[in-house]
Amino acid sequence: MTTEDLYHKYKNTVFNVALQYTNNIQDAEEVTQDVFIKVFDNLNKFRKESELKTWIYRITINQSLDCIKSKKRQKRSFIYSLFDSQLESDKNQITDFNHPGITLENKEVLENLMQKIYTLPENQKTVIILLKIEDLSQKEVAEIMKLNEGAVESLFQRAKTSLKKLL
Amino acid sequence: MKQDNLNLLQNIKRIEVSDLLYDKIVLKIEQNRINTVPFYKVGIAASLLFAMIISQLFMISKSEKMNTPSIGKMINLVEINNNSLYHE
Repeated sequence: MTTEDLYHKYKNTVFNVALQYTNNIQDAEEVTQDVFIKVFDNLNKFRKESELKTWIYRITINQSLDCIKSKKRQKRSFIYSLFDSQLESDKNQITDFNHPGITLENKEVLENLMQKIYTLPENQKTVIILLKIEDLSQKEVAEIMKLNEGAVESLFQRAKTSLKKLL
Repeated sequence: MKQDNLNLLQNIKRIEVSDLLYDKIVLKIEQNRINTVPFYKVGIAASLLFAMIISQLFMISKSEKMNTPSIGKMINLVEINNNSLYHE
């Protein structure tokens, strides 16, 4: 499989996962580029198709989380330089929400829900995104996150409880 | 939180990525390649620097050897000084 074939096969998966994390087209594009650069660089290490898919998911998740962290860092340093004592919650808000997958129909509810998911701990966020948005099975999620299915279920329950408190 | 809320997440539409992004990725890889200094060039630079340091050390040690007698002469001059001016 050439790099171009690989790109066409996984481009939408990578971009959409990145979009669910970043909630912003520009950031999702940036993450997609970085993911494929890493994939192309290390392609020779993978022979099995299933391994490759799991690995691509893993890189996408890590790259997206890194992107969020660096944005939070930038925001924090900017906010601190201006006011020095902003609320901690402010840096967890998505200020540049631009999710093209959210249609007008449920825009308000979904935007609010995505804002809350954004504030969840990384593991819980990943479980919600993979299970509920990407519609992967618990087994697939467990494989991607290098956990057992029980741990995934427990993370999902914890995420639901956290969201219940937030909403 | 209502269970319905989480199920609403399935209404998020999947977005098709433009093929132009592939060209951007290829361009980025090319730029990374250009910006990366090849290993052999780093090796050449390091060995040149090493050779310069070695030759410098060699030169310094050699000039010190040459200077040893002249330093001895200077020490002798200091020792010879017997303040004869004051005895005149």
